Amino acid sequence: MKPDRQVGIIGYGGYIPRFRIDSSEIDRVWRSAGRPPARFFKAVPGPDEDTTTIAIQAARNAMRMARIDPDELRAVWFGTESKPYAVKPTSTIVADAIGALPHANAADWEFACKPGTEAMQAAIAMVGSGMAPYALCGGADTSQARPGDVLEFFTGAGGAAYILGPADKGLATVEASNSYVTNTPDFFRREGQAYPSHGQRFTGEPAYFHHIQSAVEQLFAETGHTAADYRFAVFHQPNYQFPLKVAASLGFPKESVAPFILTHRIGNTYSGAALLGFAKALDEAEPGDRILLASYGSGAGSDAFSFVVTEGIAEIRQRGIPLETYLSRHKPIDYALYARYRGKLRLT
Amino acid sequence: MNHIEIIGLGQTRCAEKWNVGLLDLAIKAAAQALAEAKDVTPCALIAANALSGALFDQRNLGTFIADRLGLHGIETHTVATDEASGGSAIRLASALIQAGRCEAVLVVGAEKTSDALPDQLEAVRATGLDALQEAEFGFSPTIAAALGMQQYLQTHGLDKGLFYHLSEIAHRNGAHNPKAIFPWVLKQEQYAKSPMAAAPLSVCDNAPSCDGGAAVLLRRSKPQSTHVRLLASAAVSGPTGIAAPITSLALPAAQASAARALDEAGLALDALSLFELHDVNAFFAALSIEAVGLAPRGEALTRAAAGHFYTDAAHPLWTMGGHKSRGIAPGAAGVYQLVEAALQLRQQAGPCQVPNAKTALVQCLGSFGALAVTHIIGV
Amino acid sequence: MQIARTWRQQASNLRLSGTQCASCHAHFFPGRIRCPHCASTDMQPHAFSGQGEVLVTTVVHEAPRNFEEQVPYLAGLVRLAEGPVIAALLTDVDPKDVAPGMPVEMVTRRIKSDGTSGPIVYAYKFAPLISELQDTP
Repeated sequence: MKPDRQVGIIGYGGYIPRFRIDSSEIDRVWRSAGRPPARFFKAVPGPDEDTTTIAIQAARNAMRMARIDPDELRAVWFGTESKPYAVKPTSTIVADAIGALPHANAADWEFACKPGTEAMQAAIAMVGSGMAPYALCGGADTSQARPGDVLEFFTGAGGAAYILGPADKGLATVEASNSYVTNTPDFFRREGQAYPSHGQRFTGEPAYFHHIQSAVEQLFAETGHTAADYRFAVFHQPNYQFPLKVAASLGFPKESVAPFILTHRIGNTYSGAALLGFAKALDEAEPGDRILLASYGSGAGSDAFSFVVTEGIAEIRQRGIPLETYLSRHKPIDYALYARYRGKLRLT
Repeated sequence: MNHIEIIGLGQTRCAEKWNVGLLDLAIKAAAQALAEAKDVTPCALIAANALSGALFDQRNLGTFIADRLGLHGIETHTVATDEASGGSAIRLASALIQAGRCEAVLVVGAEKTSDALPDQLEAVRATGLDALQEAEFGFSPTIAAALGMQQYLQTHGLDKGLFYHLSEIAHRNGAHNPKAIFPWVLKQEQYAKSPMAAAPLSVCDNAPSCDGGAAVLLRRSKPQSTHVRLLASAAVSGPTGIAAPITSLALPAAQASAARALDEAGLALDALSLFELHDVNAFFAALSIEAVGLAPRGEALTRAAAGHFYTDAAHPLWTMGGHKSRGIAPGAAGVYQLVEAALQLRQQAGPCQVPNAKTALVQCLGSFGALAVTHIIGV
Repeated sequence: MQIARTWRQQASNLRLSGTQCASCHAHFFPGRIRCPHCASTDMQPHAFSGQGEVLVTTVVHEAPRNFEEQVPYLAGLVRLAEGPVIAALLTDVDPKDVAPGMPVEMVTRRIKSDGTSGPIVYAYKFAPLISELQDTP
């Protein structure tokens, strides 16, 4: 799938909270095995942060890079599975904060961990069809996991926002995008429940791997590309191993993938994960680079995109905030503070 | 304005009065004041109360107090100017008399704080600041005062320990006041160990909120009367917002109000026997001292430490314990101050007595110093 | 629950939207509908840049209702680049790292929420400049 009119990314921005908890600290509290699955850190939102505040900062950072009049945004679309309001859009708050209201479409997207890339596909279509000069899309989460669940080692917090516009003003041009979706209940959260349920090993082969592989293979078929045509590839990253494994199965060498796996530094940021990895790749990209982005959302599906970096990237990018600024922020906290900040202590 | 006299005084002990409600606090104080002048029936009652509406307690307090006192047929008002309510009520009472509308006016200040939980009380008191830009953001008078103290120490290059001397004066005097909630001497070790509410402001820098009622009966003065007289009254408002007092370390409204009152009374500062200033916290204690002129800017603490404000010194302060030791019932605070100063001038202050007290200046402040009401009394 | 009041404050809370007097050009945050300097009622919306400087701070241990969950928190005065001094909370910084004169910029955070079923108030706080963030383990 590709738009009639050439569409590009004209700005992007990420945001990651400053607090980090060490996986060995989580292991100490729940398993006392003395050996967590691997030693890594995950980002924890502060007591005054949630998905909305993360999305607002990511959107502001993207606007800072794009330097457009917020009135020209015709859509503000954020995807998340940790909405502070179950009913009442987060996107209207984000849009208000960046001054994009009232003549804009604002909506929250939900598809487990991939609503941000769905919103991106829609934003490409909206700009590509000429309906809008610019559209903002993104994904953010304060990922949930039941205390003691193995998932808890990985659930982080963060988000990223992208502004799509005419390709000639862009830092990267959209070549094509493709989705692969089935009805697969590998991971879900029922209405009113605080924590998600998951099918353990079922989330792997028939879910994550099958959908990403299918989406990317179809993208390759449509574009005629192979893995060799890409300098970087970014995948949804629920942990460190899955993206490496799916990359290898598609023929990508480790060095084109590993630098953009952030899980060991900030955890799995759910709707933010693939988009933050992509931001990191754009931070390091050079003109002419081709970049693959493939998200994954349980339920299940994958959106795959092919981008080519433009000559304008260096000038546009220097107006923004490098993701490394947030990645390298690191204020360690123990499990007790983590439990407090994440609202896991019952106060009423 | 040498023609208004104070013919009745009443006050309850400032305390956590678990078994007494708001109206009864007011009635107890009012009854004492009325009992001192049995032949006088006021033609107006002005209640002073800051918080009752926000705490879902009785509003329009004046009308209800009058009813409970059996004072039907008189006019009633209720004044709510934050912690300056008491001063405002006294000023309005004197204005009614001066205007010839009334012969005698009863002023009753009352506040019931202990029915609220501390965090709720702090939130309600915070709405005396800017409700939308300050209270809404988690600022309270205590937090604002902490910022003020920090700025004061930073600007004047002083040590936090010096603030001890302000509370020390209040407690030294309040130790002998049977109406005080904390009638004990404050030791330096105790001050140093007191927990921080918001650094550098510790619990010992803050006046304790409490329940209380205080009343004064004012009357057009009679020839040859020996009652304590109201010599001057001045209310002045200024900029709102916590930023101004903290950044300027000055209280222009307090300064102007004191200056205007002194001018009206025709008295110099040194002619006054004692001062009751608004020590709701150490920040306001210090700035009030400087605003009234008892110390140059930045020297309130060092003057306090040097003993300038003890009862045997030139400018006695907080002679019955001030808000700090007596306790602060916010809407009644200004009435308590006048009751205490009048007791001093009547030479009825007991162990707290300032020898030969002839004149006194009392000043209360509302909305973080944006409103100041000063009265001067004399015999 | 103060739903409409929070709604009225949104432009101010989310975008530091104040006013500028069309007559004497003075800036106001929060916005005013009548100029206290020159009495003009021609007050135009003015978006403040969000850049500012810390004047003084305190660490709050005893908080008013609805703020206990964030204790200890940093409260202070911030001088906006355009001039006005406002009371504001600070975030993303440890008390030991704050000093008067520190440059800060506006971020949007959760200020408070009315229980678990009431509205959430999102509004400005101030944080160290993003370009100068440098927390390290």
